[in-house]
Amino acid sequence: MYLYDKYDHKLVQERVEQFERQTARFITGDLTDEQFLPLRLQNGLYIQRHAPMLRIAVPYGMLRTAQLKKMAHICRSYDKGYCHITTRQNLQLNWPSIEDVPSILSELAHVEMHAIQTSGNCIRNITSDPFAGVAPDEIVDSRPYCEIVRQWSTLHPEFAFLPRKFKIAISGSSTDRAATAFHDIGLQLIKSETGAVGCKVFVGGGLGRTPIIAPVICDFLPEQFLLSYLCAILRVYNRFGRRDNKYKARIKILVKEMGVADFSQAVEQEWQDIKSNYSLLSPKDITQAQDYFSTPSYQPIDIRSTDAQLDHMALKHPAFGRWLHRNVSHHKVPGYRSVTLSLKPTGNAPGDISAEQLETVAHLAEHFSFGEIRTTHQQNIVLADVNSNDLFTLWQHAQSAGFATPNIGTLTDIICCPGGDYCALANAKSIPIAEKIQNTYDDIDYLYDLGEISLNISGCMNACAHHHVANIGILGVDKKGKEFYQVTLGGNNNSRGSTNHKPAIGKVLGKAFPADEIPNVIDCVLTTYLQHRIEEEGFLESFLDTYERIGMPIFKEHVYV
Amino acid sequence: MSKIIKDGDIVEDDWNYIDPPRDFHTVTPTTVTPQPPCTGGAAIPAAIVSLDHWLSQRTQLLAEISPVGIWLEGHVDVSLVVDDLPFFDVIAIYFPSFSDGRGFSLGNQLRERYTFQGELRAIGNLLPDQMYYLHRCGFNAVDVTNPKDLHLAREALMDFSNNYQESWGEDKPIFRRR
Repeated sequence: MYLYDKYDHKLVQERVEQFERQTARFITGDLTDEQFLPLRLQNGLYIQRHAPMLRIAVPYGMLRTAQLKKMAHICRSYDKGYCHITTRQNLQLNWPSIEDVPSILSELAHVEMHAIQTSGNCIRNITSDPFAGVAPDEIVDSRPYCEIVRQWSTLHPEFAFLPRKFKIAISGSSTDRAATAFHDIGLQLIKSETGAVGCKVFVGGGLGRTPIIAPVICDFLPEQFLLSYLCAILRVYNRFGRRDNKYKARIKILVKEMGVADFSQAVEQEWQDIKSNYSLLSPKDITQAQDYFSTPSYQPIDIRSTDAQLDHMALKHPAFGRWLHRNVSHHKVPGYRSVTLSLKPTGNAPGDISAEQLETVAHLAEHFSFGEIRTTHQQNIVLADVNSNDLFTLWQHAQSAGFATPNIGTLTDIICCPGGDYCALANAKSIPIAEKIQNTYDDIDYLYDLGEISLNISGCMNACAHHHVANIGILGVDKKGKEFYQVTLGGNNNSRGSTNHKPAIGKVLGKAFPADEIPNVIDCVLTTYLQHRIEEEGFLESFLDTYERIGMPIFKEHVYV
Repeated sequence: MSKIIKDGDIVEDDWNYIDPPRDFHTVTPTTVTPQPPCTGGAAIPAAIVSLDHWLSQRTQLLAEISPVGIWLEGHVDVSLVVDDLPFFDVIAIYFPSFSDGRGFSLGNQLRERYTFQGELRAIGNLLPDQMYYLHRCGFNAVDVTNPKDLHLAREALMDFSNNYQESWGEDKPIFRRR
């Protein structure tokens, strides 16, 4: 993975010192709340319901053991002993004190971490496919491009005061596991007929109040122009994006108001002026970036005997078999597998991870996955390079640490925002709803019978848990001071291997429900699916298949009887 | 006369403003009012005029003022004055709020695309903390909002010793400097 050199170290160190000075000025009153706001946000510091929240960047979800160990130490010394993995692959501390933040940032800098641009109206952390570099369906490894864009966007002088936040996702596989169609800019790396690498550029997708699937503004952008084209898009947005209304300030609104054709033309015009002189990426520059992500020293594995052994162990230990089926995925190198550690056991706030667990993950990564760890959009953790011969031992360790719940991609692999328990913006609590659902559906056989299904819970319209693109979405709303929940069906962000479905925004089922009715409603929706699902050519329909075939009215009838 | 930061130093500002931005803080001491219509009076030295003024009284201003500058808002279409750029010794870009980043893009465009060589000055509501970014977007002069921030702002020009991107004054991105 990418390792800092003297330039990166210096830059992060100088950023820490700059923020120390800014915090001191704020504490003495030389900076007003209003002035300090964009400065602290661009260092990941929010003021929340109970305490400040510090969001720490995990560039495209990649971490190594020393960083997890440092996080464990920070959770114990400055917080309540745990942290949270966000849907944008970052890490979040929910209880630090403002005075401690400069010290936390300084400690993070020792392990090449920071909180730069994890919040505020600037280019945020770049997100990607947690299986980048190892997925069997990969076309181009996205990590070198993520790193190129990370460096370009970090402390970019022109784009630190945009109309609104700006999120970029990059994927490079035939299945888009980075939800690129729902980002301000989504880049899908592809190859042309001649084998040249480039990307399909999506602009103006997003969720929140106005969910939009991003249109494509360029079908094939040759890789050498990546940075100049990004600059052109950002420049058009920075100059013409709305600044009069926070809710209309995202680039999706600009694209919508200008029209895709006019917007693309404006970008094209800007780009023509800078394409040949602005950060043109030479083949050497790209090779240099690729060299940071060298192939680990994989061992030769006798696949036939290893697979036979795995089958044998799966039969002997059904729990291991279930885990193998749900939490282990194929790898492009024969004999290797990628393992997803579930952070969604019953009773755990989705994505929360304790200091002890962080250390356990570090230990597991050290022994079983070349010391590398990845965080996922679904708020789980991936060990990407596991020798199949180690799977059983790894499973035993994961089980005793509480990471082996075999529920990846099932109903209880819930994406959930911190909600009203923590977040000042939330209209309603989300974690207790997730907990209720997890408690109701902890029968593994039933979960498996339901098959591939996604359920996301957001505590407000800002849609941090991406409820719009879940097969079943739950949104907290405020009705005259009381917490209600609206349910949507049929969303899809293409991130769970549902490759035969297009990205879709869920439709509202009907009027909202009070919290205690939600388990019944979900039960009703699931029963309707099970009653109507059909089997075709030996394959049972997924929830999304059935929903798309029978439509919303049948679900409605069953729920609102 | 007020002080500004120019090329890294704190200096007296020897420019006047004609029709400055409405809430511009240096209005009081140095604003001069032109005498329309032109009466052939004494030439006004070193003045920065508004875009409206320039567009409506271009010939007269060129005759009366020397040297001349213009101030622009961040969203302005540069093509309106693109042929006049050689006349301007100063282009001032007005930031109505420190969170309004349009001027950063306009600065870069003037330097990169239009190769403006004169003084590029940031005026309006700015934080000392923005100095480093302003400098990298081509601004070589800043009129800070609050005079007591002058020294802080000058120091903030040195917040960082290196950057990832190419920018004004740095012709190579970091991956070609490593």
